[in-house]
Amino acid sequence: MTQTATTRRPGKTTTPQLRKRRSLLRYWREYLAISPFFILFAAFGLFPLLFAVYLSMVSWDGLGDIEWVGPDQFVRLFSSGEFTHALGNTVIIFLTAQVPVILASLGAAALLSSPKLRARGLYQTMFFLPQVTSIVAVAIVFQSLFSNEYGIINAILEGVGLSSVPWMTTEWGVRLVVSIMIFWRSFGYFVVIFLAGISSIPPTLYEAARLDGAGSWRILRSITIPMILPTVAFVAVTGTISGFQIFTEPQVLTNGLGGPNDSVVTMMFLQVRYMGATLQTVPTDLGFATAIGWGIFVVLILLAVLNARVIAKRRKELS
Amino acid sequence: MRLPRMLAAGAAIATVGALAGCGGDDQASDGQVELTLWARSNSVPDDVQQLLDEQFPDYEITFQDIPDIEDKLRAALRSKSGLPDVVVMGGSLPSFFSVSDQFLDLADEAAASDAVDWTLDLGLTPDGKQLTLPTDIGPWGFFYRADALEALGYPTEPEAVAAEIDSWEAYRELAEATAATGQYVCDHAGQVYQARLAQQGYAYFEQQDGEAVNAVDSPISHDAFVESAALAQDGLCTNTEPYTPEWNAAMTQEDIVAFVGPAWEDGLLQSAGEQQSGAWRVTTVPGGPAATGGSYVAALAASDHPDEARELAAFIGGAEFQKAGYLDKGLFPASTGVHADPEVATPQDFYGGQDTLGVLAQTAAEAPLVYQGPNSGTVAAQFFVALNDLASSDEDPAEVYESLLAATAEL
Repeated sequence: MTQTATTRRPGKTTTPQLRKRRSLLRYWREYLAISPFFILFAAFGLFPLLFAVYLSMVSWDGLGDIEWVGPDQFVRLFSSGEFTHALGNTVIIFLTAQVPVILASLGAAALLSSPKLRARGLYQTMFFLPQVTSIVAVAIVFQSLFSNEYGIINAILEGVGLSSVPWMTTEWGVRLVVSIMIFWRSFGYFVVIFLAGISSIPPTLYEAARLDGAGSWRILRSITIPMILPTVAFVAVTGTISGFQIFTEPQVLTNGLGGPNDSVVTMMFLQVRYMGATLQTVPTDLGFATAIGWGIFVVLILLAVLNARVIAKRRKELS
Repeated sequence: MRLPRMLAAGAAIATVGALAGCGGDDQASDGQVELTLWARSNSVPDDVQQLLDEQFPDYEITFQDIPDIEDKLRAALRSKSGLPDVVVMGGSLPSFFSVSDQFLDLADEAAASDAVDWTLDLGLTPDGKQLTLPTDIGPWGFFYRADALEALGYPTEPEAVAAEIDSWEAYRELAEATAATGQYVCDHAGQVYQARLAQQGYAYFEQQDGEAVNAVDSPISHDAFVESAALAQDGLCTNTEPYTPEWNAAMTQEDIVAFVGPAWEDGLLQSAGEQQSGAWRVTTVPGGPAATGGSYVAALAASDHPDEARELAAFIGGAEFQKAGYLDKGLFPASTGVHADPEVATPQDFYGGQDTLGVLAQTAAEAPLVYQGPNSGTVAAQFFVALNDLASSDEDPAEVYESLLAATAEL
């Protein structure tokens, strides 16, 4: 910009500031042309973000007077135990749902990409179907499956002589049901992404490996996974972020109650509670809800950085 | 140079257009009165648009079905924009009292209303402003199957049942007798608990000089909580919440043969208990009449046509509208005129020819006013969740009650 500005030799009397202002004015058309993005970003991105900074320093029920509390909401975030409990729940559900589903879908994608497989499209559609099903409908079906007294699963268990499992009324039971639901729902999505990654690997590599006498496991480890590392990185980052934002499944499955002892109240679930959910077990406080939002934000940033580091290290090892 | 300039101008127009799209303040151009009504479609009659068009041919009324109406209304009140003229809402009214200046005073309409007195008082702010008129209300009933009670040697006619099971002790005896046969007269301990509080006119807070004073620590909540939890822990309830698949399953498998619930569960019962049509009856809840609020209509101060908005609100809070709501959806009317209407108070086949409106209308008339504080809903939800958890744990309800007292002391 400074280079082009010199083309219109400014008079000796003009100050550098004035020169800069003139050059800005000179490019008004260009600025105007790119302005839609910036105006929309300011209205829908920047302003809410700045407002969130302000909101996290107040206490507000959303209707009445706003009370300035300074850093109190953040003190409460760490001292009240609610957020740490929710973080713990989120980590448990993440580890029991998101991690296994990524590993399983990688394996499934490797199998599905076998050149001998017939009706590949059919499998892909079948696996992907849960992803496009309404999550609320899925939750209601899972309620019917895992209900303690009237569930199909318990009926089957009792039918074969086993004792029924109190799925919905024990902390680990309800967490497991949430995990199974997430697994079932996101499996197909990850399979499709991994399949896309695998299809970009040149078949010559596989042919060469087979000529060298490599088995399936060896091919998966030494060719498929290293070649789709960017896809793995993508899945790991987006999977982690979405895994830490779990909300709908536990909310709908427990009718908004959060399971016994709030065992499936994830971070997002907790935030929605303070935003004034329909079943209000806590007084609405948009300030605290925003502080929770910042807490989630920091956790996600830390995880993304950790992910990037691990992937970069693995990449270095391979090259 | 011309093309870039045109592009720039085009971009500018597009931007302005996009931003203007966020505002959306459409004005009536032809001078006709335009009114917007927000309501949940399941809290108004089926053909609400037609009903309003016929009643107000001179106004252009737009009905918008808003499922999460309280959240939307709060957001609109917060930003003071995008508000409707009239709204039909449910939930906790006192949470709106702090912004009563954003509502129109419906005092004149309330004076002309034939609604049950306490239902009007629910919408009265501490400084005497009539914020809402009731549209439908929730008198509680003891729904039971005559054949099940008969098998246990109990009377079957509603009045005789009410006389026999007149207290929560008598109810527990019945619960024990039915549980012994593998059936239940309690669907969820939370329902019994809510009925017990409502019939004492209690909702955790007391009004003192216009202020809500915390009264969570009370023998009313203590006894109701501990005894309701005992019902669940002793295996006398199916532990199924109404409006869940489990409740429906318990009903179709004929596990639930009686329950206490608000009048609007009539619709739920008639669909889930379809095969048991004719066997069901309704009578007064053990321990005395209990009722809770249902939906309310309010008019917004931001309306361009306040007089017309009040007129519309009065119609929605009036007998004709409520009669249609009752006939279409079983929404129990607040209007005493509808209670006495011979077209509505008719024998119901599902209830073995019983006139259910009669018994529930009597409950509505005799039930005490339940004073609600702004935090009543929050405390109630905490107690409900605790009861739900207690059903499947062996914790001592009295201890859980103490911890709830500590948790809600600051509210």
